[in-house]
Amino acid sequence: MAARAEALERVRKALGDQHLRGAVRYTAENLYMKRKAAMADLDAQAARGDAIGNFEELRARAREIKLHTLAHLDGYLKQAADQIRKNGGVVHWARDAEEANQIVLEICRKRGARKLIKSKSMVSEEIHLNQRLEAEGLEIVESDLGEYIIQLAHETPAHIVIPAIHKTRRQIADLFGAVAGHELPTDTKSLTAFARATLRHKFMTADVGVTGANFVVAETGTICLVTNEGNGRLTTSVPPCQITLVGMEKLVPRLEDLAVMMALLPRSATGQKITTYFNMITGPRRPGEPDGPEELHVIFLDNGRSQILGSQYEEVLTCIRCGACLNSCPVYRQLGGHAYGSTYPGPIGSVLTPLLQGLEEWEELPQLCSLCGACHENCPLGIHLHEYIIQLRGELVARGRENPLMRTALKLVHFAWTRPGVYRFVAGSAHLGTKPFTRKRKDGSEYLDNLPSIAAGWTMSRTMPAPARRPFHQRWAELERQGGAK
Amino acid sequence: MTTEQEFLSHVARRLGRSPEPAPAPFRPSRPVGPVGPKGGYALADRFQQELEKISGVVHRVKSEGEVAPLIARILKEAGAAGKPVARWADPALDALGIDQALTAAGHPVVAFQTGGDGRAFVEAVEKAAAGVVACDAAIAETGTIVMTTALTRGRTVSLLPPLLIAVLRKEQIRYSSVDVFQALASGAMPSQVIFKSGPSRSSDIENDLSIGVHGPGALHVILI
Repeated sequence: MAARAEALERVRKALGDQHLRGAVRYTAENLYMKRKAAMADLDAQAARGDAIGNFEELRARAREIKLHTLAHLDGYLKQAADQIRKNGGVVHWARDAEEANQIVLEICRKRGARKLIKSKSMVSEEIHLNQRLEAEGLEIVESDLGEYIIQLAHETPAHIVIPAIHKTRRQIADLFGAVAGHELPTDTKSLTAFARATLRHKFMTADVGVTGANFVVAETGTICLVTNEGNGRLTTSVPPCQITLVGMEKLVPRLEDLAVMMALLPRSATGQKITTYFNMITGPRRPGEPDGPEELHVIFLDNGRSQILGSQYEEVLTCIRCGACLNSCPVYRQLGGHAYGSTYPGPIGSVLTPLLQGLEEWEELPQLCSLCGACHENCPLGIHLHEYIIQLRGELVARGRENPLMRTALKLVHFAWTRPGVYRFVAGSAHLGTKPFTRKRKDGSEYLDNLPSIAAGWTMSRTMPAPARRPFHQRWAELERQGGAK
Repeated sequence: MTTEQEFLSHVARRLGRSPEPAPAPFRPSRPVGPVGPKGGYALADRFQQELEKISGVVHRVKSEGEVAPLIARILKEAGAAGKPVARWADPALDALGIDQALTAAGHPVVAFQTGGDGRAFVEAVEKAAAGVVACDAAIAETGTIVMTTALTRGRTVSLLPPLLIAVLRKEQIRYSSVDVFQALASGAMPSQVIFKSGPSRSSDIENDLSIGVHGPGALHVILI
C-alpha cells in the first residue's frame, strides 16, 4: 500500500501545481491540434495520390510491419546483430538495466573515457544510466535542449517528446546562469545561444556519445535517429566512440519499411511531416573517411520486454514513443508526466510500466484512466491501450488488490441491477437516499457534493447531478399511459 | 553477462519455439508503391515550397557556372566575409570552381584531410563559418535533402558550421522517401545517411521555436 500512498501524493502535488498544469494543458493541446492538422493534410494528399497512404492505411501497414517483426523477433535480432558486426560495430546483449549499465561502464573503462555526451534516449532514462555513471565518477551531459534543462534542475521529464514543458524561461535562465556564473537574459534566442555554445564545447571534448534508437533496420544493421535539434547527429559524428542503447523491440525488417514508420512518427509526435534530422548510421567511420566515431557499440536491451512478448499484451511492444497518447489523454492533460512517477507517463506508461516492472509495484497506474479510448484513436500503431488498462485492472482484482469496500459496493450494485423490482426500488429512493449530500444551485438544479466513504473520490474535486426525484422508468411509464410514446 | 545465444533463446522461448536461424522474410500485404507527381519542374517547385515552409532558403540557378559566385554572395550576405569555409572534396563539387571563388573572395578553405583519427579535421570544420556540400537526393514531399558519407565527404561539414550551403541538381529530386529508401536498399549502405529538412530547431523553451540550437541555423539550397 506504500505505492498507493506515494501515487496519491504525486497526484495531489501535480493537481496543486497550477503552473505545471497550465503548461501541460497548453503543450498537450498544441501538439494534439498540430497532429490533427498533419493527419488531415496527409489524408488529403493521399486522396490525390500524393502520399503512400492515408492515416488509416499507414497505420494498418505499420501494424503489419511491427507485428511481423515481433513474431520473428529472435530471427530479426540475429540478422541485425550479424549486419552490425559486418559493418564494423560491436553488439552487446543486456537482460536488464544493471547489465546494460555494466556494459556501458566497461566500454568506458577500456577506453579510459571520463566524459560522455548523450542525445535524448528514453531507454537510458529507463535504466537510470546517468545516475549509475555519475555514481562511478563519470560525467554524462544531456544534449537535447529540454533534457539539458531537466538535468540541470535535477528533475525528470514531464513529457516524453518535450521534456521541460513545465519550466519557465525565468527558471531556465537561472539554471543556465548558474552554469555561466553570471546572469543571462531570458529571451529564447539568448538562452538557445548559450546552450549551443556550452554544449558544443561538451561535444568537442566528449570521449563517448550515447544515443538511443528510434528504429534499427535488420537487413542492413542500420541505426535510425529522429531529432530536430541535430544533437543526435553531433553525438554520432564528433566523439570518437558511439554507444547506442536499443530496446529489443525497435527493429523493422527492411529499409523500405522506414517510409511507413517515418510517415507516421513525426506527424504523430509534433505534427511535422518530417523532423529536421533523420539520421541513418550503418557502422563506425570507415577506413579513409575524414570523420566519425572509430568505435560503435550497440546494446540490445530486454529489461522486462520479453515478458510482454508472447503474452496478451504483445501489441504494446509496437509502440514507437511518439507521445500522441499523452497529448490526447484527459488524465495526462490534468496531471502531466510527474504524477505517474514512471519513466513512461500517460496511457502508454500506465500499461508499459506495470508490464516491465511489475503490476504490484505500479498498481495505481492503470487507475489513471477514464477509459475514453482517445489514446487508441490517436495511436499511429492503433495499440488498444484502453483495453489493456481494463485487463490490468482485472488482474489486480484477481490478485485481490482492490478495495474490499468497493467489492461489496459493486456486489450490491450487481444484486440490484439484475433484479427489476430491487432496481426500481433503488432508483426510486435514490433521491431521498442522497438528500444529506445534495446542494441546490440558484437555478434550482441539484447536485451532489461531499459523498462519504468510497464514493468520496467522485465528489472530491467535482460535482455530479443529484438523482431525479422521479426516475426515468416511472416517467416513461406515465408518458406511455398518456399516449405520448408510440 | 548475457550471451547472444542466451538472449535469443529466451526470446524464442517466449514466442513458444526454438530460435530461428534467419527471420521469415517480410512480405507486406500491399507493396508501398511509387506516388506523387513526376517531372523535374513539378518536383522542383514542390521541393522549394516545402523547404521554404520550414525556414530553408532555395536559390534556383540555370547553369553550373552560377553556383560558385552565388556561394560567395550568400556568404557575404550572411556576414561571413573572410571567414573559413569547409567543403566536401567531392567530384560532385569539383567542377564548379568553388575553391577558386572562395579564395578570390578571401575565404580560407578548410583543408580536407582523411585518415588519422580525424580530430584535426573536425576541429578545423568546427571553426568554419559555413559548410558547402552536395546532395545525393532530395525529397519533394517534405523539402528534405539527403546526404551520404564517403571518403570525399565526411559527416561534420554539413553539421558543425552555423551556415550550410547544399548544391542540388533538379534530376536528383524524388517525390517520396520511398524512392530514396528503395534506392538505398539496392546498393551498399554508406556509414551515414542524413535526411535534413530545414535548419536545426527546438521548442524546448516554453514551446517557443528557436533555430540553430545544435546544427546549422541557416540552410541554403542551390538548385541547378
